[in-house]
Amino acid sequence: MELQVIDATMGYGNKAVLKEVNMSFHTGEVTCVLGRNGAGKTTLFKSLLGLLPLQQGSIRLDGKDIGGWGRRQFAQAVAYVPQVRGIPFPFTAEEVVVFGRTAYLSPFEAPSHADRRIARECMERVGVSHLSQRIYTQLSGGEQQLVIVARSLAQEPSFLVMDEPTSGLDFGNRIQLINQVKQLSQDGLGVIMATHFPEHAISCRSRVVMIDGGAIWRQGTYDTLIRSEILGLLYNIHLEITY
Amino acid sequence: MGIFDGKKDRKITLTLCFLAVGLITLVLLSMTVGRYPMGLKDLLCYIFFGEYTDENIPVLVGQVRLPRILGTTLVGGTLGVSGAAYQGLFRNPMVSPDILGVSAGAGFGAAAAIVCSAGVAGVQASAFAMGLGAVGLSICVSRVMGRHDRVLMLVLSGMVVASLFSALLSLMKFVADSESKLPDITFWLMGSLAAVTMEELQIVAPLVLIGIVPLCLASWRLNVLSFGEEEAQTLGVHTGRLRILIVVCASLLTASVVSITGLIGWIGLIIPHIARFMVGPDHRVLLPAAFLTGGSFMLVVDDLARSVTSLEIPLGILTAMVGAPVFLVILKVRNHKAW
Repeated sequence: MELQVIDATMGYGNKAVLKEVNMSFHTGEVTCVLGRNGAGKTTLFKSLLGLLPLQQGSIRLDGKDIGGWGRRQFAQAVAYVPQVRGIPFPFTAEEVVVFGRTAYLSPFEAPSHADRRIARECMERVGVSHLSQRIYTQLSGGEQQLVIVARSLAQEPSFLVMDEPTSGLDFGNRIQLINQVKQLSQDGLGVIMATHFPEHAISCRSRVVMIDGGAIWRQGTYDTLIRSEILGLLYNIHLEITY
Repeated sequence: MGIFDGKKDRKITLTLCFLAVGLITLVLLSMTVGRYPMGLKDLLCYIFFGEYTDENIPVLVGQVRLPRILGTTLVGGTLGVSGAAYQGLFRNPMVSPDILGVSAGAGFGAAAAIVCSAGVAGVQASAFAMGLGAVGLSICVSRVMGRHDRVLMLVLSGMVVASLFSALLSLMKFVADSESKLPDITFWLMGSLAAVTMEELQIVAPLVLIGIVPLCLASWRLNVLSFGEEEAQTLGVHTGRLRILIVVCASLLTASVVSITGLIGWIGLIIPHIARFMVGPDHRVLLPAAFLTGGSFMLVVDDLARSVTSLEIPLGILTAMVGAPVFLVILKVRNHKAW
Protein backbone atom coordinates (compact mmCIF):
# COMPACT_ATOMS: atom_id res chain seq x y z
CA MET A 1 0.00 0.00 0.00
CA GLU A 2 1.05 3.56 -0.52
CA LEU A 3 0.42 6.59 1.68
CA GLN A 4 0.88 9.76 -0.34
CA VAL A 5 1.03 13.40 0.67
CA ILE A 6 0.27 15.64 -2.30
CA ASP A 7 0.99 19.39 -2.48
CA ALA A 8 0.11 19.77 1.16
CA THR A 9 0.35 22.87 3.32
CA MET A 10 0.29 22.05 7.00
CA GLY A 11 -0.10 24.34 9.96
CA TYR A 12 -2.32 25.75 12.68
CA GLY A 13 -5.16 28.14 11.93
CA ASN A 14 -3.93 30.44 9.17
CA LYS A 15 -0.27 29.96 10.01
CA ALA A 16 1.51 27.57 7.68
CA VAL A 17 4.33 25.55 9.22
CA LEU A 18 5.21 23.29 6.29
CA LYS A 19 4.60 24.15 2.66
CA GLU A 20 4.62 22.19 -0.59
CA VAL A 21 4.90 18.83 1.13
CA ASN A 22 5.07 15.97 -1.36
CA MET A 23 6.10 12.52 -0.28
CA SER A 24 5.01 8.94 -0.25
CA PHE A 25 5.42 6.03 2.14
CA HIS A 26 5.15 2.35 1.34
CA THR A 27 4.28 -0.70 3.37
CA GLY A 28 7.32 -2.79 4.20
CA GLU A 29 9.52 0.27 4.39
CA VAL A 30 10.88 2.41 7.24
CA THR A 31 11.03 6.16 6.80
CA CYS A 32 12.93 8.26 9.33
CA VAL A 33 11.96 11.90 9.65
CA LEU A 34 14.85 14.09 10.80
CA GLY A 35 14.90 17.75 11.63
CA ARG A 36 15.88 20.20 14.31
CA ASN A 37 13.62 20.86 17.30
CA GLY A 38 10.80 23.06 16.09
CA ALA A 39 11.35 22.23 12.42
CA GLY A 40 7.80 20.93 12.08
CA LYS A 41 8.00 17.19 12.72
CA THR A 42 5.08 17.30 15.13
CA THR A 43 3.01 19.34 12.68
CA LEU A 44 3.79 16.81 9.94
CA PHE A 45 2.75 13.93 12.17
CA LYS A 46 -0.42 15.56 13.40
CA SER A 47 -1.40 16.17 9.79
CA LEU A 48 -0.53 12.62 8.74
CA LEU A 49 -2.68 11.31 11.59
CA GLY A 50 -5.60 13.49 10.60
CA LEU A 51 -5.49 15.36 13.93
CA LEU A 52 -4.75 18.62 12.15
CA PRO A 53 -6.69 19.43 8.98
CA LEU A 54 -4.56 20.23 5.94
CA GLN A 55 -4.64 23.84 4.79
CA GLN A 56 -4.11 22.71 1.21
CA GLY A 57 -3.48 19.51 -0.69
CA SER A 58 -4.45 15.96 0.17
CA ILE A 59 -3.34 12.75 1.81
CA ARG A 60 -4.18 9.61 -0.13
CA LEU A 61 -4.08 5.96 0.79
CA ASP A 62 -3.75 3.89 -2.38
CA GLY A 63 -5.11 6.83 -4.34
CA LYS A 64 -8.15 7.40 -2.11
CA ASP A 65 -8.36 10.76 -0.36
CA ILE A 66 -8.57 10.11 3.38
CA GLY A 67 -9.73 13.67 4.15
CA GLY A 68 -13.34 12.63 4.66
CA TRP A 69 -12.69 9.38 6.50
CA GLY A 70 -14.15 8.81 9.95
CA ARG A 71 -11.88 8.20 12.90
CA ARG A 72 -12.50 4.47 12.98
CA GLN A 73 -11.82 3.88 9.30
CA PHE A 74 -8.64 5.92 9.59
CA ALA A 75 -7.50 4.12 12.74
CA GLN A 76 -7.78 0.81 10.91
CA ALA A 77 -5.27 2.01 8.33
CA VAL A 78 -2.84 4.18 10.27
CA ALA A 79 -1.82 3.65 13.90
CA TYR A 80 0.06 6.04 16.14
CA VAL A 81 2.84 5.24 18.59
CA PRO A 82 3.28 8.38 20.69
CA GLN A 83 6.01 9.11 23.19
CA VAL A 84 5.26 7.35 26.45
CA ARG A 85 3.24 9.35 28.90
CA GLY A 86 1.38 8.73 32.09
CA ILE A 87 -2.30 7.84 32.30
CA PRO A 88 -4.44 8.74 35.29
CA PHE A 89 -6.00 5.33 35.97
CA PRO A 90 -4.38 1.97 36.79
CA PHE A 91 -5.25 -0.11 33.72
CA THR A 92 -3.31 -3.34 33.17
CA ALA A 93 -0.99 -3.64 30.19
CA GLU A 94 -3.37 -6.05 28.50
CA GLU A 95 -6.28 -3.65 28.87
CA VAL A 96 -4.15 -0.94 27.29
CA VAL A 97 -3.42 -3.20 24.31
CA VAL A 98 -7.13 -4.04 23.97
CA PHE A 99 -7.74 -0.28 23.52
CA GLY A 100 -6.14 -0.82 20.10
CA ARG A 101 -9.25 -2.76 19.07
CA THR A 102 -11.51 0.30 19.50
CA ALA A 103 -11.36 1.03 15.76
CA TYR A 104 -13.20 -2.24 15.10
CA LEU A 105 -15.99 -1.59 17.61
CA SER A 106 -19.16 0.36 16.97
CA PRO A 107 -19.59 3.41 19.25
CA PHE A 108 -21.47 1.60 22.02
CA GLU A 109 -19.74 -1.77 21.68
CA ALA A 110 -17.19 -3.32 24.05
CA PRO A 111 -14.35 -5.67 22.99
CA SER A 112 -15.13 -9.35 22.63
CA HIS A 113 -13.06 -12.42 23.46
CA ALA A 114 -11.80 -12.39 19.88
CA ASP A 115 -10.53 -8.85 20.41
CA ARG A 116 -8.78 -9.92 23.61
CA ARG A 117 -7.17 -12.82 21.76
CA ILE A 118 -5.85 -10.49 19.06
CA ALA A 119 -4.51 -8.18 21.76
CA ARG A 120 -2.67 -11.08 23.42
CA GLU A 121 -1.21 -12.15 20.07
CA CYS A 122 0.09 -8.64 19.53
CA MET A 123 1.71 -8.65 22.96
CA GLU A 124 3.29 -11.99 22.09
CA ARG A 125 4.62 -10.54 18.86
CA VAL A 126 6.33 -7.64 20.59
CA GLY A 127 7.51 -9.89 23.44
CA VAL A 128 5.59 -8.30 26.31
CA SER A 129 3.16 -11.14 27.13
CA HIS A 130 4.71 -11.53 30.56
CA LEU A 131 3.61 -7.98 31.42
CA SER A 132 -0.06 -8.48 30.57
CA GLN A 133 -1.44 -8.42 34.13
CA ARG A 134 0.93 -5.72 35.38
CA ILE A 135 -0.35 -2.18 35.94
CA TYR A 136 0.65 -0.10 32.92
CA THR A 137 1.64 2.98 34.93
CA GLN A 138 4.04 0.90 37.05
CA LEU A 139 6.03 -0.41 34.07
CA SER A 140 9.37 1.06 33.07
CA GLY A 141 9.53 3.52 30.18
CA GLY A 142 10.87 0.86 27.81
CA GLU A 143 8.16 -1.62 28.76
CA GLN A 144 5.46 1.02 28.40
CA GLN A 145 6.71 1.90 24.92
CA LEU A 146 6.61 -1.74 23.83
CA VAL A 147 3.09 -2.11 25.24
CA ILE A 148 2.07 0.91 23.17
CA VAL A 149 3.65 -0.71 20.09
CA ALA A 150 1.56 -3.82 20.82
CA ARG A 151 -1.51 -1.59 21.14
CA SER A 152 -0.83 -0.06 17.74
CA LEU A 153 -0.46 -3.54 16.22
CA ALA A 154 -3.85 -4.48 17.67
CA GLN A 155 -5.27 -1.84 15.33
CA GLU A 156 -4.09 -4.10 12.47
CA PRO A 157 -2.93 -1.05 10.53
CA SER A 158 -0.96 -0.76 7.30
CA PHE A 159 1.13 2.13 8.59
CA LEU A 160 2.64 2.99 11.95
CA VAL A 161 3.44 6.59 12.76
CA MET A 162 5.99 6.71 15.58
CA ASP A 163 6.87 9.95 17.33
CA GLU A 164 10.42 9.66 18.70
CA PRO A 165 9.68 6.20 20.06
CA THR A 166 13.09 5.90 21.70
CA SER A 167 13.07 9.16 23.62
CA GLY A 168 13.66 8.54 27.30
CA LEU A 169 14.72 4.93 26.76
CA ASP A 170 18.09 3.59 27.87
CA PHE A 171 20.69 2.26 25.46
CA GLY A 172 19.48 -1.37 25.57
CA ASN A 173 15.79 -0.54 25.24
CA ARG A 174 16.58 1.78 22.33
CA ILE A 175 18.26 -1.04 20.43
CA GLN A 176 15.45 -3.42 21.30
CA LEU A 177 12.87 -0.96 20.00
CA ILE A 178 14.75 -0.32 16.76
CA ASN A 179 15.06 -4.08 16.20
CA GLN A 180 11.32 -4.29 16.72
CA VAL A 181 10.78 -1.58 14.12
CA LYS A 182 12.95 -3.47 11.62
CA GLN A 183 11.01 -6.67 12.29
CA LEU A 184 7.66 -4.93 11.81
CA SER A 185 8.69 -3.47 8.47
CA GLN A 186 9.92 -6.91 7.36
CA ASP A 187 6.47 -8.22 8.33
CA GLY A 188 5.00 -5.76 5.83
CA LEU A 189 4.12 -2.67 7.89
CA GLY A 190 5.02 0.80 6.71
CA VAL A 191 6.80 2.65 9.52
CA ILE A 192 7.11 6.43 9.62
CA MET A 193 9.33 7.43 12.52
CA ALA A 194 10.45 10.79 13.82
CA THR A 195 13.82 10.50 15.45
CA HIS A 196 16.70 12.58 16.75
CA PHE A 197 19.16 9.75 16.11
CA PRO A 198 20.44 9.58 12.50
CA GLU A 199 21.96 6.18 13.30
CA HIS A 200 18.41 4.77 13.49
CA ALA A 201 18.10 5.45 9.77
CA ILE A 202 21.27 3.48 9.18
CA SER A 203 20.29 0.53 11.35
CA CYS A 204 16.84 0.34 9.74
CA ARG A 205 18.28 0.93 6.24
CA SER A 206 15.45 3.38 5.94
CA ARG A 207 14.32 6.11 3.67
CA VAL A 208 15.04 9.54 5.11
CA VAL A 209 12.98 12.72 5.06
CA MET A 210 14.69 15.87 6.30
CA ILE A 211 12.66 18.87 7.36
CA ASP A 212 14.08 22.36 7.49
CA GLY A 213 13.04 25.93 6.73
CA GLY A 214 9.30 25.19 6.66
CA ALA A 215 9.53 22.56 3.93
CA ILE A 216 10.82 19.12 3.05
CA TRP A 217 14.51 19.89 2.66
CA ARG A 218 15.78 16.55 1.36
CA GLN A 219 14.40 13.08 0.91
CA GLY A 220 16.13 9.90 -0.21
CA THR A 221 17.76 6.76 1.08
CA TYR A 222 19.88 6.56 4.23
CA ASP A 223 23.15 5.94 2.34
CA THR A 224 22.82 9.14 0.33
CA LEU A 225 21.55 11.40 3.12
CA ILE A 226 23.13 10.23 6.39
CA ARG A 227 26.42 11.92 5.56
CA SER A 228 28.43 14.31 7.62
CA GLU A 229 28.13 17.25 5.23
CA ILE A 230 24.34 16.92 4.92
CA LEU A 231 23.72 16.33 8.63
CA GLY A 232 26.11 19.19 9.38
CA LEU A 233 23.95 21.50 7.28
CA LEU A 234 20.68 20.18 8.71
CA TYR A 235 21.66 20.52 12.35
CA ASN A 236 24.03 23.44 11.76
CA ILE A 237 27.01 21.72 13.35
CA HIS A 238 30.35 20.36 12.30
CA LEU A 239 30.61 16.59 12.54
CA GLU A 240 32.34 13.58 11.12
CA ILE A 241 30.70 10.21 10.70
CA THR A 242 32.78 7.08 10.85
CA TYR A 243 31.11 3.81 9.92
CA MET B 1 -19.97 -11.26 32.68
CA GLY B 2 -17.43 -11.87 29.97
CA ILE B 3 -15.86 -8.47 30.38
CA PHE B 4 -12.49 -9.80 31.40
CA ASP B 5 -11.19 -13.31 31.52
CA GLY B 6 -11.73 -16.15 33.95
CA LYS B 7 -10.52 -15.35 37.42
CA LYS B 8 -10.75 -11.59 37.16
CA ASP B 9 -14.31 -11.85 35.87
CA ARG B 10 -15.35 -13.92 38.86
CA LYS B 11 -13.71 -11.57 41.29
CA ILE B 12 -15.41 -8.53 39.82
CA THR B 13 -18.79 -10.23 39.59
CA LEU B 14 -18.44 -11.23 43.24
CA THR B 15 -17.54 -7.68 44.25
CA LEU B 16 -20.54 -6.24 42.39
CA CYS B 17 -22.84 -8.84 44.00
CA PHE B 18 -21.41 -8.00 47.39
CA LEU B 19 -22.05 -4.30 46.77
CA ALA B 20 -25.62 -4.97 45.62
CA VAL B 21 -26.39 -7.16 48.63
CA GLY B 22 -24.82 -4.52 50.88
CA LEU B 23 -27.04 -1.83 49.38
CA ILE B 24 -30.22 -3.90 49.80
CA THR B 25 -29.30 -4.69 53.41
CA LEU B 26 -28.67 -1.02 54.09
CA VAL B 27 -32.01 -0.08 52.55
CA LEU B 28 -33.80 -2.50 54.89
CA LEU B 29 -31.83 -1.42 57.95
CA SER B 30 -32.34 2.26 57.12
CA MET B 31 -36.11 1.66 57.11
CA THR B 32 -35.89 0.84 60.79
CA VAL B 33 -33.87 3.92 61.70
CA GLY B 34 -35.77 6.97 62.88
CA ARG B 35 -37.68 8.59 65.72
CA TYR B 36 -40.67 6.25 65.49
CA PRO B 37 -39.67 2.78 66.68
CA MET B 38 -40.07 -0.08 64.22
CA GLY B 39 -38.01 -3.27 64.42
CA LEU B 40 -36.60 -5.18 61.48
CA LYS B 41 -39.01 -7.98 62.28
CA ASP B 42 -42.03 -5.65 62.06
CA LEU B 43 -40.73 -4.34 58.76
CA LEU B 44 -40.13 -7.77 57.21
CA CYS B 45 -43.52 -9.01 58.41
CA TYR B 46 -45.18 -6.01 56.78
CA ILE B 47 -43.23 -6.27 53.51
CA PHE B 48 -43.52 -10.01 52.96
CA PHE B 49 -46.82 -10.92 54.65
CA GLY B 50 -48.65 -7.60 54.82
CA GLU B 51 -49.15 -8.16 58.58
CA TYR B 52 -48.69 -5.46 61.19
CA THR B 53 -49.48 -4.93 64.85
CA ASP B 54 -49.00 -1.16 64.93
CA GLU B 55 -51.50 0.65 62.69
CA ASN B 56 -48.97 3.41 61.92
CA ILE B 57 -46.61 1.07 60.09
CA PRO B 58 -48.17 1.30 56.59
CA VAL B 59 -47.97 5.11 56.60
CA LEU B 60 -44.56 5.11 58.20
CA VAL B 61 -43.14 2.72 55.63
CA GLY B 62 -44.99 3.81 52.51
CA GLN B 63 -45.17 7.57 52.89
CA VAL B 64 -42.46 8.60 55.33
CA ARG B 65 -39.46 6.35 55.12
CA LEU B 66 -39.67 4.66 51.72
CA PRO B 67 -39.60 7.87 49.61
CA ARG B 68 -36.75 9.19 51.64
CA ILE B 69 -34.71 6.01 51.46
CA LEU B 70 -35.32 5.50 47.75
CA GLY B 71 -34.45 9.16 47.22
CA THR B 72 -31.27 8.83 49.26
CA THR B 73 -30.16 5.77 47.31
CA LEU B 74 -30.96 7.40 44.00
CA VAL B 75 -29.18 10.64 44.87
CA GLY B 76 -26.05 8.96 46.22
CA GLY B 77 -25.82 6.51 43.35
CA THR B 78 -26.42 9.16 40.73
CA LEU B 79 -23.82 11.53 42.13
CA GLY B 80 -21.35 8.63 42.25
CA VAL B 81 -21.91 7.74 38.60
CA SER B 82 -21.77 11.33 37.47
CA GLY B 83 -18.52 11.88 39.39
CA ALA B 84 -16.95 8.76 37.88
CA ALA B 85 -17.92 9.88 34.38
CA TYR B 86 -16.51 13.37 34.91
CA GLN B 87 -13.26 12.00 36.35
CA GLY B 88 -12.90 9.72 33.34
CA LEU B 89 -13.64 12.46 30.86
CA PHE B 90 -11.22 14.93 32.40
CA ARG B 91 -8.66 12.20 33.09
CA ASN B 92 -8.32 13.54 36.57
CA PRO B 93 -9.23 11.82 39.82
CA MET B 94 -9.54 15.19 41.58
CA VAL B 95 -12.52 16.27 39.49
CA SER B 96 -16.01 16.39 40.97
CA PRO B 97 -19.35 16.90 39.18
CA ASP B 98 -19.36 20.62 40.08
CA ILE B 99 -16.45 21.34 37.78
CA LEU B 100 -18.54 22.81 34.96
CA GLY B 101 -20.64 24.94 37.28
CA VAL B 102 -23.71 22.73 37.63
CA SER B 103 -23.91 23.12 41.43
CA ALA B 104 -23.26 26.85 41.37
CA GLY B 105 -25.90 27.27 38.67
CA ALA B 106 -28.43 25.17 40.56
CA GLY B 107 -27.71 27.09 43.77
CA PHE B 108 -28.35 30.38 42.02
CA GLY B 109 -31.48 29.01 40.33
CA ALA B 110 -32.90 27.84 43.64
CA ALA B 111 -32.02 31.08 45.44
CA ALA B 112 -33.56 33.21 42.70
CA ALA B 113 -36.75 31.16 42.82
CA ILE B 114 -36.89 31.42 46.62
CA VAL B 115 -36.45 35.19 46.41
CA CYS B 116 -39.29 35.34 43.88
CA SER B 117 -41.44 33.29 46.28
CA ALA B 118 -41.86 30.44 43.82
CA GLY B 119 -43.23 27.24 45.34
CA VAL B 120 -41.31 24.02 45.93
CA ALA B 121 -41.82 22.89 42.33
CA GLY B 122 -40.69 26.29 41.07
CA VAL B 123 -37.50 26.15 43.13
CA GLN B 124 -36.73 22.66 41.82
CA ALA B 125 -37.42 23.54 38.21
CA SER B 126 -35.34 26.70 38.46
CA ALA B 127 -32.44 24.86 40.12
CA PHE B 128 -32.55 22.17 37.43
CA ALA B 129 -32.72 24.66 34.57
CA MET B 130 -29.97 26.94 35.89
CA GLY B 131 -27.75 23.95 36.70
CA LEU B 132 -27.93 22.76 33.11
CA GLY B 133 -27.77 26.36 31.89
CA ALA B 134 -24.47 26.91 33.70
CA VAL B 135 -22.96 23.82 32.03
CA GLY B 136 -24.28 24.97 28.67
CA LEU B 137 -22.68 28.35 29.21
CA SER B 138 -19.36 26.69 30.12
CA ILE B 139 -19.45 24.70 26.89
CA CYS B 140 -20.29 27.80 24.81
CA VAL B 141 -17.56 29.89 26.44
CA SER B 142 -14.98 27.14 25.87
CA ARG B 143 -15.96 26.95 22.19
CA VAL B 144 -15.60 30.69 21.73
CA MET B 145 -12.26 30.73 23.54
CA GLY B 146 -10.32 28.53 21.19
CA ARG B 147 -9.74 25.28 19.43
CA HIS B 148 -6.54 24.08 21.05
CA ASP B 149 -6.74 21.82 24.06
CA ARG B 150 -10.48 21.83 24.33
CA VAL B 151 -10.55 19.91 27.60
CA LEU B 152 -8.40 22.48 29.37
CA MET B 153 -10.55 25.27 27.91
CA LEU B 154 -13.67 23.52 29.15
CA VAL B 155 -12.26 23.26 32.69
CA LEU B 156 -11.20 26.91 32.73
CA SER B 157 -14.55 28.06 31.34
CA GLY B 158 -16.27 25.93 33.97
CA MET B 159 -14.30 27.62 36.72
CA VAL B 160 -15.18 31.07 35.39
CA VAL B 161 -18.87 30.23 34.99
CA ALA B 162 -19.00 28.63 38.46
CA SER B 163 -17.55 31.69 40.12
CA LEU B 164 -19.90 33.92 38.14
CA PHE B 165 -22.90 31.95 39.41
CA SER B 166 -21.51 31.96 42.96
CA ALA B 167 -21.41 35.73 42.76
CA LEU B 168 -24.99 35.80 41.48
CA LEU B 169 -25.96 33.51 44.34
CA SER B 170 -24.37 35.91 46.84
CA LEU B 171 -26.32 38.72 45.19
CA MET B 172 -29.55 36.76 45.71
CA LYS B 173 -28.64 36.21 49.37
CA PHE B 174 -27.92 39.92 49.72
CA VAL B 175 -31.28 41.01 48.35
CA ALA B 176 -33.24 38.23 50.08
CA ASP B 177 -35.42 39.06 53.07
CA SER B 178 -33.19 38.15 56.00
CA GLU B 179 -36.12 37.01 58.18
CA SER B 180 -37.74 34.47 55.87
CA LYS B 181 -36.01 34.03 52.51
CA LEU B 182 -32.36 34.00 53.56
CA PRO B 183 -32.77 31.05 55.97
CA ASP B 184 -34.57 29.13 53.20
CA ILE B 185 -31.69 29.74 50.79
CA THR B 186 -29.12 28.78 53.41
CA PHE B 187 -30.90 25.53 54.24
CA TRP B 188 -31.35 24.69 50.57
CA LEU B 189 -27.63 25.12 50.03
CA MET B 190 -26.87 22.71 52.87
CA GLY B 191 -28.87 19.96 51.20
CA SER B 192 -31.60 17.80 52.66
CA LEU B 193 -33.61 14.74 51.77
CA ALA B 194 -36.27 15.32 54.41
CA ALA B 195 -38.90 16.63 52.02
CA VAL B 196 -38.46 14.21 49.13
CA THR B 197 -41.79 12.82 47.93
CA MET B 198 -42.73 9.89 45.71
CA GLU B 199 -44.06 12.32 43.09
CA GLU B 200 -40.67 14.03 42.85
CA LEU B 201 -38.94 10.69 42.57
CA GLN B 202 -41.25 9.75 39.72
CA ILE B 203 -40.02 12.79 37.80
CA VAL B 204 -36.35 12.47 38.72
CA ALA B 205 -35.94 8.71 38.24
CA PRO B 206 -36.64 8.79 34.47
CA LEU B 207 -34.26 11.74 34.08
CA VAL B 208 -31.58 9.76 35.90
CA LEU B 209 -32.22 6.79 33.64
CA ILE B 210 -31.90 8.99 30.55
CA GLY B 211 -28.54 10.17 31.85
CA ILE B 212 -27.14 6.84 33.03
CA VAL B 213 -27.96 4.59 30.08
CA PRO B 214 -25.85 6.45 27.47
CA LEU B 215 -22.97 6.72 29.97
CA CYS B 216 -22.99 2.95 30.51
CA LEU B 217 -23.15 2.33 26.77
CA ALA B 218 -20.21 4.65 26.13
CA SER B 219 -18.20 3.36 29.07
CA TRP B 220 -15.66 1.47 26.97
CA ARG B 221 -14.80 4.61 25.01
CA LEU B 222 -14.49 6.47 28.30
CA ASN B 223 -11.68 4.03 29.13
CA VAL B 224 -9.91 4.87 25.88
CA LEU B 225 -10.03 8.57 26.75
CA SER B 226 -7.52 7.88 29.57
CA PHE B 227 -4.77 8.38 27.04
CA GLY B 228 -5.95 11.86 26.18
CA GLU B 229 -7.87 13.35 23.30
CA GLU B 230 -5.34 12.97 20.52
CA GLU B 231 -4.37 9.41 21.26
CA ALA B 232 -8.00 8.44 21.66
CA GLN B 233 -8.68 9.93 18.23
CA THR B 234 -5.89 7.92 16.65
CA LEU B 235 -7.39 4.83 18.30
CA GLY B 236 -10.64 5.49 16.47
CA VAL B 237 -12.73 7.51 18.94
CA HIS B 238 -14.64 10.57 17.80
CA THR B 239 -13.68 12.48 20.95
CA GLY B 240 -15.72 15.63 20.24
CA ARG B 241 -19.03 13.77 20.14
CA LEU B 242 -18.09 11.55 23.06
CA ARG B 243 -17.15 14.55 25.20
CA ILE B 244 -20.48 16.28 24.55
CA LEU B 245 -22.40 13.07 25.25
CA ILE B 246 -20.66 12.57 28.58
CA VAL B 247 -20.88 16.19 29.69
CA VAL B 248 -24.58 16.40 28.82
CA CYS B 249 -25.49 13.09 30.50
CA ALA B 250 -23.38 13.60 33.62
CA SER B 251 -24.66 17.17 34.04
CA LEU B 252 -28.25 16.00 33.56
CA LEU B 253 -27.67 13.49 36.36
CA THR B 254 -26.20 16.03 38.75
CA ALA B 255 -28.78 18.72 37.96
CA SER B 256 -31.74 16.35 38.42
CA VAL B 257 -30.73 15.13 41.85
CA VAL B 258 -29.37 18.43 43.13
CA SER B 259 -32.65 20.11 42.18
CA ILE B 260 -34.59 17.99 44.70
CA THR B 261 -32.01 17.77 47.47
CA GLY B 262 -30.01 20.99 47.38
CA LEU B 263 -26.25 20.99 47.27
CA ILE B 264 -24.57 17.81 48.42
CA GLY B 265 -20.81 17.86 48.01
CA TRP B 266 -18.10 15.23 48.29
CA ILE B 267 -20.14 12.25 47.07
CA GLY B 268 -19.20 12.82 43.43
CA LEU B 269 -15.54 13.17 44.37
CA ILE B 270 -14.94 10.30 46.79
CA ILE B 271 -17.36 7.61 45.62
CA PRO B 272 -15.52 7.00 42.31
CA HIS B 273 -12.32 6.54 44.33
CA ILE B 274 -13.88 3.97 46.64
CA ALA B 275 -15.45 2.17 43.67
CA ARG B 276 -12.18 2.21 41.70
CA PHE B 277 -10.42 0.84 44.74
CA MET B 278 -12.79 -2.13 44.73
CA VAL B 279 -13.34 -2.96 41.06
CA GLY B 280 -10.51 -1.24 39.18
CA PRO B 281 -10.59 1.55 36.61
CA ASP B 282 -12.67 -0.06 33.83
CA HIS B 283 -15.70 2.21 33.48
CA ARG B 284 -17.88 -0.69 32.36
CA VAL B 285 -17.85 -1.99 35.94
CA LEU B 286 -16.82 1.24 37.63
CA LEU B 287 -20.08 3.05 36.78
CA PRO B 288 -22.39 0.36 38.26
CA ALA B 289 -20.05 -0.01 41.24
CA ALA B 290 -20.10 3.76 41.75
CA PHE B 291 -23.91 3.70 41.78
CA LEU B 292 -24.06 0.91 44.37
CA THR B 293 -21.32 2.44 46.54
CA GLY B 294 -22.78 5.94 46.27
CA GLY B 295 -26.23 4.71 47.27
CA SER B 296 -24.86 2.81 50.27
CA PHE B 297 -22.63 5.65 51.42
CA MET B 298 -25.48 8.11 51.19
CA LEU B 299 -27.80 5.82 53.16
CA VAL B 300 -25.28 5.59 55.98
CA VAL B 301 -24.80 9.34 56.03
CA ASP B 302 -28.57 9.96 55.96
CA ASP B 303 -29.12 7.46 58.77
CA LEU B 304 -26.61 9.41 60.81
CA ALA B 305 -28.32 12.67 59.88
CA ARG B 306 -31.65 11.30 61.10
CA SER B 307 -30.56 9.54 64.24
CA VAL B 308 -27.52 11.14 65.85
CA THR B 309 -29.26 14.19 67.25
CA SER B 310 -32.91 15.04 67.74
CA LEU B 311 -32.44 17.97 65.34
CA GLU B 312 -31.78 16.69 61.84
CA ILE B 313 -28.30 17.63 60.61
CA PRO B 314 -28.25 18.97 57.01
CA LEU B 315 -26.84 16.37 54.63
CA GLY B 316 -24.31 18.60 52.91
CA ILE B 317 -22.60 19.15 56.26
CA LEU B 318 -22.48 15.45 57.08
CA THR B 319 -21.25 14.31 53.66
CA ALA B 320 -18.32 16.67 54.07
CA MET B 321 -17.67 15.65 57.67
CA VAL B 322 -17.78 11.95 56.85
CA GLY B 323 -16.33 12.34 53.37
CA ALA B 324 -13.17 14.24 54.27
CA PRO B 325 -11.70 11.62 56.64
CA VAL B 326 -12.79 8.76 54.37
CA PHE B 327 -11.05 10.45 51.45
CA LEU B 328 -7.86 10.87 53.48
CA VAL B 329 -7.92 7.18 54.41
CA ILE B 330 -8.24 6.21 50.73
CA LEU B 331 -5.37 8.50 49.82
CA LYS B 332 -3.25 6.91 52.53
CA VAL B 333 -4.10 3.35 51.47
CA ARG B 334 -3.59 4.07 47.79
CA ASN B 335 -0.66 6.42 47.81
CA HIS B 336 1.86 3.72 46.98
CA LYS B 337 -0.18 2.76 43.93
CA ALA B 338 -1.06 4.61 40.77
CA TRP B 339 -4.55 6.04 40.61
